[in-house]
Amino acid sequence: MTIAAAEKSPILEVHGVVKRLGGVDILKGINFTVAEGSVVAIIGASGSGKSTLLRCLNMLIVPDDGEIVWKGQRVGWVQKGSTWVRQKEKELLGYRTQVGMVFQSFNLFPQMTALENIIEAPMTVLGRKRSEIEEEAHALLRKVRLSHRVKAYPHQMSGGEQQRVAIARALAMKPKAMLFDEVTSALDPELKGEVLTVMRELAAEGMTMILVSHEMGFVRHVADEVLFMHQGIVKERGNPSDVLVNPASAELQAFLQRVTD
Amino acid sequence: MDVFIAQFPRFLDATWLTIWMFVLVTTVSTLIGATLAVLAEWAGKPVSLPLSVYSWVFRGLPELIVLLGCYLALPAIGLDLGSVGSAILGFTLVGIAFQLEIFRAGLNAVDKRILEATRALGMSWWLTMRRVVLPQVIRIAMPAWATFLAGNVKIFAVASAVAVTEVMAVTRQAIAVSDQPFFLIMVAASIYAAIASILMVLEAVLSRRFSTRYGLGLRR
Amino acid sequence: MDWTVVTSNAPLFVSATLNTVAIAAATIVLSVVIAFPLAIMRDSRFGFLRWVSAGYSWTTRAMPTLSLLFLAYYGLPQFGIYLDPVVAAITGLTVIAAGYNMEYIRVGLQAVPAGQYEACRALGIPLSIALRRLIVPQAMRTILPPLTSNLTLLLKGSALASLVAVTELSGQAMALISYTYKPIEILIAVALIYLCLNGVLVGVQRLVEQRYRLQD
Repeated sequence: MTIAAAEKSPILEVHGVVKRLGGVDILKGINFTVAEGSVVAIIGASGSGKSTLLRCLNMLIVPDDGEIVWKGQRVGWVQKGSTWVRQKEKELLGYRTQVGMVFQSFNLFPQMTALENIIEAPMTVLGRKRSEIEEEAHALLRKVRLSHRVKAYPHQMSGGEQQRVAIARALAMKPKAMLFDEVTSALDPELKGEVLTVMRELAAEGMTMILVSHEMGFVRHVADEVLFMHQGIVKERGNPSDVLVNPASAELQAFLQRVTD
Repeated sequence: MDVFIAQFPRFLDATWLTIWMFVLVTTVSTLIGATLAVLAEWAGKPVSLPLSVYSWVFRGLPELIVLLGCYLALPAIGLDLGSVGSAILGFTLVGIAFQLEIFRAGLNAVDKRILEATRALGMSWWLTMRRVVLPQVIRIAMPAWATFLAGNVKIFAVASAVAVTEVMAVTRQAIAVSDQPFFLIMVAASIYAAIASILMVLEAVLSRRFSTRYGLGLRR
Repeated sequence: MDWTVVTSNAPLFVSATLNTVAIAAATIVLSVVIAFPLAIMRDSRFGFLRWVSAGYSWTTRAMPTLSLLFLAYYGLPQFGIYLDPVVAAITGLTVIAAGYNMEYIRVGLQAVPAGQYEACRALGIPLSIALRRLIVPQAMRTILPPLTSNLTLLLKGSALASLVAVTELSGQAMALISYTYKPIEILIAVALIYLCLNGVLVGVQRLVEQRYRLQD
């Protein structure tokens, strides 16, 4: 997967993205590209800007400067004559359906069963028939090994189960890429494995994935590229077997020391 | 506008009447309500149960019905208080019911273990109440008390229904001889809104002062 | 005491009670419908909408309910608008109740975790659909308990309709007192009816609270 992926043209390009929040520079000019079918892991201490960067990628947070280019088209802006015009929230919704996102805190809809959570957006956003999407939803639940939890409500499920439903919910929109924001950080250690297994299988199927994670073992085995963020910039990048084994900067050395302890 | 200028002295008198009725009713019902709350808390079921029934009845009845009772029913048993007297009695009866609940909630919020501590220190019941319990109750109950006042002043408009010449009654008489009823009612509403706004500012000040400075907003 | 004045006029009491219930029911439904957009405006991106909504909230908290009823019944004819007494009463009561309800609804919407809004955006669900299908149903568990406990206030408020010539319970009581001059019996009967209605509302409130506690 790694060599083949690198040769493909990039599906997502990030050019000079800057974000300020409350007078503080969270992101100070981020550049990277993601090839179709590849897995990019973003690591770094809390407060380094990882989650903000991930939210910029699907415009949950709008960058102050720089460009995000999806399949050759600039995201969030349209050219009218010679000037660029910001898109409205409504016009961004189409892009977001192509990029799935899974959150640290699951964010399942609490009043709906696992199945209803999955079929909600395909029904209301894509306007698909309930009977048709239900079949796919059952298949997705099988894929995340939750066939037995179809009718369970979020509060009846473990954190690991909820997170797998959240992954299935995002996949139901048939996204071309997936964003994972520290999806195992809120889970007890014994529940992390079941979620990581699902993600590993997804990567093996060729899904383009961008993930923020503290699971160094997982990152080393699954990621094609690692970005180490420190104080709003990408401090180090490269193949995980190089970067994680022979860190060049003192910051990454200190960070790896902390997370492996 | 002409009507308003012609009626201005009457509006002024009516506003003054509304204000002093409100102050009198608030003072009396706060004192009686707080006393009854203490009684209910320490005298047990025989006192607290009838008080609960009283409070439920007078908080549940429309103020208009209570006022009509004082204005129409009491004279039938030989007690004629006149219109202003009936209104004051009616609003006080309702006010006591609400104040009782406000101060009861305040008393319940006081940590009962404090009573063990004061007894261990040899403090008498009255001393404990005066020096330890009541100061806490007042701090806890103050925001709810202010909220009640800010919402309660508008109710005095209902007194117009029992022939009290407060603001709304004067307005009703004025619109009978005017072709600008909307304007006149807005004037009356604004007078009430002004008084209520002053009380709302008081409410904001009190609740900020008593919740941050003493950190007592925690126990509800 | 002479209770025949109550028993012989029982049909009048029944129809007056039904009027009271109808006025209160119409008010609660209409006021909630109006309160939702006001609550959403309160946190709008546009300063003007926020300002309108805050002004509405303040006005309705500061103005006497009775003045709103008078505006609708005695005030609007100045502009050639003549409302039926019942319509005028419901209009005045609704305007006031919406001001209170918008605050409960706002608190309820704010109680829905930010992650829920974020999840909706990430899935590409438009805000209108997200609010209707996902956010509001979640907010209802925060909104309903204070809303139902406020039904008591609404029932009490409906008595003011009698002052704009509506024959609901209080109006019927005043009319009967002036014909028969039996204030004690009539007022006791009416008070008991109000307290019974109140008891029903307390029951509804308990049910609502119980239902939402069980789901947690």
